[in-house]
Order: sequence, then C-alpha cells, then structure tokens
Amino acid sequence: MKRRAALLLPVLLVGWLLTGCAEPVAVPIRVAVPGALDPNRYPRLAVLPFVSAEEELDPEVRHALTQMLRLRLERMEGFIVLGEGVTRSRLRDETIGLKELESREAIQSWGSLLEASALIAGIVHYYTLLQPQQRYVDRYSYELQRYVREVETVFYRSYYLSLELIVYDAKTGEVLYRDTLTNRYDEPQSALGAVWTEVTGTEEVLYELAQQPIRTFVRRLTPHYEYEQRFLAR
Amino acid sequence: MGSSKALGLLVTVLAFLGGCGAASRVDAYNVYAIRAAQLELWKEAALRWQQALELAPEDPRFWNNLAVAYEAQGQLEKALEAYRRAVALDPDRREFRRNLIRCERQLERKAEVQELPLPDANAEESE
Repeated sequence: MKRRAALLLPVLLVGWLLTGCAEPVAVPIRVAVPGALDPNRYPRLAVLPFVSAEEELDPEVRHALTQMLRLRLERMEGFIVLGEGVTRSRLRDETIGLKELESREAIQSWGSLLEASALIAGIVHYYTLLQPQQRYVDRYSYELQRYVREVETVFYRSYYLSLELIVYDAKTGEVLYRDTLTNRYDEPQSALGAVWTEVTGTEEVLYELAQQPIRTFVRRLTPHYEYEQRFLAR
Repeated sequence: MGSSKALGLLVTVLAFLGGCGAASRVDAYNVYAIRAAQLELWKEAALRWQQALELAPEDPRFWNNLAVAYEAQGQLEKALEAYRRAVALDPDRREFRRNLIRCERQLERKAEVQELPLPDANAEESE
C-alpha cells in the first residue's frame, strides 16, 4: 500500500508538470473597435433631458447629468452636438418621461423639432441605502491585561447609480444602441453623519458616480481601443 | 526493490524538470519571446519567434505566437496568414483556433474603423 502511494506521487507530479508546461499564456493586445454610432450616418446628435426611473430626482440634478453627457459628446470628433439652449427652447412644450421614451412617434417628433439625426436619452436610477454592518475590533482590556476582540456595529451608506442610456434614430424612432451602466460607492457613517447626509443631500456623490458611466458610454459610441486576450503557446 | 523503483521515477521527474529548465535553443527563444510579449515588447518577441521558426519551421506554437505579435502590432493580414498556418499544422489546439477566429473578426472590423477618426491611443489611456 505504501509502495503504491510512493509510486503515485511522482506520477502525479509528472502529470502536473506536463499540463503546466503546455498551458497557454494569455496576453492582452490592444484592438481598435468601431463605435456604436456611425458619424457619417448620424452626424447631428441631440441629448434629451435625463429622466429619473422611480425615485424623483431634483430637475437641477438631472439637468447637470445631461450636461455632463453633452459636454463629453462635444469633445468627440465627427459629431455635432446640439447646444443646451437650443435643445431646451425647442423642447419647451414637450413632456419627456419614461412613457414617452417608449413611443416611436414621440422620438420622431422630437427628432424633427431638433433637426437631429440621432437622439440620446438617459434614465437615471439612483438611491442610497443606510445599513448596519458588524466588524471585529481589538480593544486592550486593563482588567484582563490583554487585547480582547469585540464586535462593533458601524453604519455604512451605499450609493447606487444605474444609468440607462439609449440612442435613437431620430427619423425612424428606432433604438440604435442601449447601454445600462452602473456605479456604486460605500462609506462608513456615524449616527450624526447619517443625519447630516439626509439633510444636505448626496448630489455631489451622484455627480462623482455618474462620471465613469458617462465616459464609458461616450467611448463606446465612437471608435476606440479595447484589450482582447490572445493565447501564446509555451 | 520498491524503493528503487520510486527512486527511478524520481530521477525521471528530475530529468524532466531539467529538460524543462535547460530547454533547447528553440524553446529558449520561445520562453524569452513570451516574456517580451508579456512586457508588450512585441517587436522583440516577433524577432525571437522568427528566429525560432528558422530552426523549427513546422512548429505550430511559433506560428501562433508570431501571429499574436503581428496582430499586436496591427499587421492583421500577416497575423491571419500565420494563424492559419498554426491551425493547419495543429488543428486540435483550441487556443490556436480561438486566436484565428478573433483575428478574422478584427480584420472585418478593420475597414470600418479605418474610415473613422480613431483617437490617439496614448491620449485615451492617460485620460
């Protein structure tokens, strides 16, 4: 029995070495990826005011997020982005909500009003969650003359943002591209801090959270580089 | 007797390990080139795989690896040719076929991407 075990070990070792030596090496290479939106077909873009999903967001906050996207798009080559003032004045009498964004007719009508070839809409889903979490802390006990481990309850506030961005063909109302991007941030809060946050609001965090998804979306719209894996043989 | 067999096997393992370590010249080129590729020194890596292919022109590994180096440098047509050669020499290797499929897809995208203004790669990374 012992002899068998002694023989088995080197055999297993050889097998492991053989598979290990033959294993391919994955390396990332940079590849050029075409954008989701062709600037030759859709050169004029208009950004519709963002709408909030369930929770009612302050219109100023939604406006700031819309403007963040617009400014990012303006920096991209090949597209003409309709300015904020023109968009606002032409859509003055229009209602833009979740229901309207599902309607092709509404999209077509906004498209002709704005004289754009593609419309971009954003649906914001943002909420915060305050929840207790338990963690271990070491405290020195003078009575016991040693460190003792205790459980401490800490409040964490989690900020969740989900941004759904949709690109429509302004003439047909058809959805050309749809992307849902999320971001999240957690921070520990004291009882006083939690109350303070409730009073002052969390807009600053929302703006920070929105930057990454908006940047990613704009990158995907236009030609960009991505990393893809290739496999090298040993 | 049993212990002598085990000892024999152990010697085999050690010899195998030695074989892996002090690889032949061709394999040494490959090991060196893979290291260069991991550091994104693709020109250097390609040169070593070309040298390895001069010594072992029928080794599919070097054709595949050279193709990866070509692709990383944007030479997609040459990469495709080299991938095809690797797959022809060893059709059973999954990673060769996977690389070939991805390169073919990249070649399809190429025409589309070339017509469009592509931002400077370094500028985008630093953003």
